[in-house]
Order: sequence, then structure tokens, then C-alpha cells
Amino acid sequence: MTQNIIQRLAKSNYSSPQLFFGYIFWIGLIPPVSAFFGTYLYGWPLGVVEPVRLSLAQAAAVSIFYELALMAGFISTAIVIKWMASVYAPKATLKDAFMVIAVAGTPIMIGGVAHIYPSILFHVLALSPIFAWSGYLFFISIPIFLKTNQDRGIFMGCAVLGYLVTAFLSLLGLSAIAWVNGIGPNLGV
Amino acid sequence: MDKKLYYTDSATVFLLICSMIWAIIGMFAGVYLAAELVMPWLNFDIAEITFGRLRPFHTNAVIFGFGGSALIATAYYSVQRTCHARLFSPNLAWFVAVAWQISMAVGLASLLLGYTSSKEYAEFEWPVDIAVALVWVSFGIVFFGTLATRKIRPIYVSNWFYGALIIVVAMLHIVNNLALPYSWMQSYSVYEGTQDAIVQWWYGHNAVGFFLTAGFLGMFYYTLPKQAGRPIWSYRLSVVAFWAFVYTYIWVGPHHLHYTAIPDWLMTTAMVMSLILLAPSWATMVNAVMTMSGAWGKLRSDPGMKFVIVSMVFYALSTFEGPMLAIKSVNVISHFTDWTVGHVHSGALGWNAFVTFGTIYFLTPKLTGVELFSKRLANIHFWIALIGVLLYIIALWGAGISQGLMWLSLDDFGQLKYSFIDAMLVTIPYHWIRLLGGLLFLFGTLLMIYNLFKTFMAGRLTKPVLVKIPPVHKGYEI
Repeated sequence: MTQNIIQRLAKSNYSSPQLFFGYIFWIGLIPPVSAFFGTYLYGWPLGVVEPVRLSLAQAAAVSIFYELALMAGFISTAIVIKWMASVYAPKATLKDAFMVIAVAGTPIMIGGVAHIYPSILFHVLALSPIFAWSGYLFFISIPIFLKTNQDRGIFMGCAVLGYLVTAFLSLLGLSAIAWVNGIGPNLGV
Repeated sequence: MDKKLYYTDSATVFLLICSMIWAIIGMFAGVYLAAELVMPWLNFDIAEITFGRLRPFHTNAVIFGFGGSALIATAYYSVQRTCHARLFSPNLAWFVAVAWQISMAVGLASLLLGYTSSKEYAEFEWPVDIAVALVWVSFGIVFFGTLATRKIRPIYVSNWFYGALIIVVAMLHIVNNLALPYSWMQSYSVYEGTQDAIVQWWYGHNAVGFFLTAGFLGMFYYTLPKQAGRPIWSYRLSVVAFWAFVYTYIWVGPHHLHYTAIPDWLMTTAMVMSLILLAPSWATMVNAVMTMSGAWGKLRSDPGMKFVIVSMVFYALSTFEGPMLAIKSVNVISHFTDWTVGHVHSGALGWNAFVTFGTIYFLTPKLTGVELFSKRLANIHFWIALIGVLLYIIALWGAGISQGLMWLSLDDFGQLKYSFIDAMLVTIPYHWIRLLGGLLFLFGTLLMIYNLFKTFMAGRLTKPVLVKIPPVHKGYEI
């Protein structure tokens, strides 16, 4: 059934800008807006002392950067998929790449509602099945949207996954460097 | 029958079986340790299974028992095929295979009894160290003897990696374990203070580099083109990456000692070299990805192929994460936290264990002469192991970053904001998830062992596989 829906979506005529500004941008607002309310109203509970709450201005700034980072992530991933497609799926276009990330990214963006309750453990528990579902959608949508066969799709999925994990790790590393250099939490370094 | 016309694989089969036994023992110990972290009463006040003794038991059993046996087995198998020659001294090869197991068994038992040199990944005391050194040098004689008696002129790249493994690990093991014994099971290191630490981490990180990376790349460079049925995408790149890898890796050990009493220039050198190391590591990854491209159909016919493909994703991940963690500004947060433990396991489980599983699924039918008992079971193993390793590393990313931030956070008065206990309380839920991940990985390994056991049993009913040494293509003879 899921595959049928994806096949129907593959026949749609949306252009890349239409997909981005008409869908991806808006659904991408769910995590930052949820994070804004979560960090401003409740705060992240670390340990036994009171939760870390951000001021209105800080929470707004973090949420705006979050949205910008998500959009940059979507666009760069679409470009990387198009680039990798030269090996795995020569018939694919940039619009097809946007379709893949729109479909696979939707559950994660909706799951971003979890940010309203800012507990790391809750996030791990709530988002794990969502990520698994997104992973499934990702692997079955690649061959359909990118017009290639299933085997090539698995190879390509692994390659894109490698890129995504590397990008995620880079963000972690850059965050750590920013924290140590005085941006963000007050650390004794 | 003239035996000299055939390859000899009996020691390989023995080593692969031993490798599987060590996998169960070592991984079970790992899962038990993960369980002790959330249920400390599991040590039952028995000294032998307390965390401090069981932890080096786990690391040594999986690295040297499971990994070491698999490396020697695949080196024996591949060096013969790539040299068109029978193993140099099959008897010595058998001695290495058996003596390696005895050394491991004695060494691991001594760790449980509390005898340790306290050097990480080099905990065995001096009598075991000497035994390991003798066995390793014997392994070198078998390997390089086979290379010396090869019938084909080029030395294939997998042999360069295995060769580096043998030479460098011998050097590291002997130099780092130099000690003055004062009883049969106790000794003092010949190095003092910070020098001891520098030598130890020169050993420690190069054990990762040459044992867990060079050796497994040797395995990988033989298996992947065979599985894919295609030559390496760029042979030149593989050799360039080899030399760059060997030259760079040897410098990076002191990144384990950032912000300690060692000289600052040494930390910076290690950091810079760690960053440079990304280039040869990823060159290998690109070569692997491009070699696999085109072998699309193999994914369905070869159950080991999935493991090898995903091992490359984890190889890319861990060789990127390693240099990143070596950056001083990142290390100040990550050091001593579970982030490091997660990083090691993304390499050890996702890369080393996955490429070994892929290779064993590939080799077993060739060695036994029968099809794998169940491809479906191998597929189930793949998915269970993948979910296990993902749960493991994601949980430890969460735990590690929480710990790093909490240990360093200051309040408005400049005092530490959180106590150590606070950070531990936050960590507990992640350790439960890590335990679940470890259990899944162990369960997957047990499925594989059942699958291999049934395959070997079926293989026993047919004739043993004897492979005749093929002639060398014209123009490549020695």
C-alpha cells in the first residue's frame, strides 16, 4: 500500500521550488516551533537540579537557526542525492531527489512535536520508531522516485545514509567547538 | 596425490571456528558488562566477574580472540590465492592457529584472576606477552614465507595490509610490553610516568590502526572484489592510500592524552595527523564504494554482501568521527564520556564485526563445498545486528554528550553546576538502551553461529574441499 502511494506521488508534476516552498519549508517548521515552546516554557531537565530554560529571545534565536539548519540540510541532501544518482540512478532529476527527502523526512518532521516535551530520553524513545519508519520510506522511495531498480536503490540508500550520518556528526563536532569557544552553555573550559 | 599442488585450508577452518567461539564468549562478556552498569548487583560480589576484571576480558576476547583468529584465518586463505602458492610450512601455520588459542585462553583466564599489567588492550602479564610474541612472529614467518615463495610477480594489495598488520603489531606489542618481572605473574613497565603513557597510547591507538583497521582492510580488499566479481575500482588509489595510511597512523596515539602532562606539541601533532588520516581512510572508502557499484545483482545472491556494504558505511562514519574527536576542542567535551565508547563500538561492531561476518558468510560455502544452510537466517542476522549497533551508538551519543556538558557546566558563581551523581543518573536510561542494542547484536551472532554450524555439519557429509593451485597468467610469472 505504501509503495502504491509513493508510485502515485512519483507521477505528480510538482517542480523543485514548488515542493520546497509549498511543502518542505512548512512541514520543516514543526520541530523549531515545538522546540521554541519546549525550551521557553519547560526547559531541558538535566540531572536533579531545575530544567535549563531559555529566555524568549534565546529560544527564538535558537529556533530560527534550527529552521535554517533544517532547510540547509534538506537542500544539501537533495543536491547530494542528485550527485550520487549519476552512479546509481542516471535518470533521476533534482525534483526526484526533493521527492525522496520530502517523503522520507515527513515522519521525522512530524515527530519533531516531541520537542514540546524536552527530555532526551523521551526523544530517544519516541523518535526511534519514527526514524525506523523514515528509514523504511527512504529505502523504498529511492528506486521509485529515482527511476532505478531495487538493488541499485539499496546501494544508493547506504551511500546517502553515509552522507547523512557524516553531516550529523559534523554538526555535533561543530557544536562542541562552538560550546568550548563560549557560544551556548556556560562551560568551565 | 601431490599435496604441493593444492592449497591448504584446514588451519583456516579451525581458526574460523575458534573465532566464532571467541565471538560468543567476548560478546557475552560485553553484554554482561552492559548489564552490570545498570544492575551492579550482577557481579554477585564475585571478584572474577566484577566490572574491573571483566572489562579487559571482554576487550581482549573480542579484539584478539575473535578478531585475531579471523584475521589469521583470512590471511592464510587469501595469501595463498593471491600468491598462487601453498602456505609456507602448513605445520607452523597449525602451530600458530592452536598456540594463539592457548595464549588467549591463558591470558584471559589470568585477567579474571586479577593478573594485569593495567595497560589498556595490553593487559596480559609478561609470560603471556612472550607467548603471544612468539606466536605472532611465527605467523609472520608463515605469511612472509608464502609471499617469498609466490608464483606470481605482483604482491596484491591485501597482502600489503596483512604485512603491515604483522610487522607493526609485532613492533608495538614487543616495545610496549617491555617490563621487569618480579614474580611469575607480576612485572613493572620499563617506562616511567608520562613516557609510559606515551608509549602505551602509541601502542593503543596503533592497535586500533593496524590490528583493527589495516588487518581488516586486508580482509576487505580480498573479499570485496571476489564478492562483487569485479576488480578494485582503482588499484593505484588502494596502494597510495596504503602508504599514506601507514605513514600517518603511527603518529596519532597521543590524541588519547589531550590536556595531560605530555608535551603540548605532541598533542597538537597527534591532532593534526589524526585529521590528515581522514584522507587515506576515505580514499579507501571511495574505492570500495566504486568497486561495489555495478555488482547490483550480488545483493540478492550473496548474503554476505549486505554486511560488507554496511561495514563501509560504518567505516566511513568511524574514520570521520575519530579525527573529529581528536580535535582538542571536541575532545575536551568527549573525553572520558560514553561518546568515546560509542565511537569505538561503531568501528568494532559496525565495521570490524560486519566485514568479518560478510567474509565468513562468503568463505564458508567455499571451504565446506556446500551452500549456506539458510540465506534467510543470514538476512535476519543482518537486520538484527544493524538495529543493535544503531541503538548502541545512538544511545551512547546521547549519554556521552549529556555527560560531557554536565561535567563542564558552571553556574552563575563559577561553581560546577552538576555533581558526578547527577550525570550518572542521566546516563542510566541510555545504558539500558545500550544493553538492548548489545543483546540484539549478540543474538544476531548466535543466529549466524547456528547457521554456520548447520552448514559445516552438512559439509562434513561431502568430500573436503581441495582447491588445486591454478597456473599464473602468462607474463606475470616469477
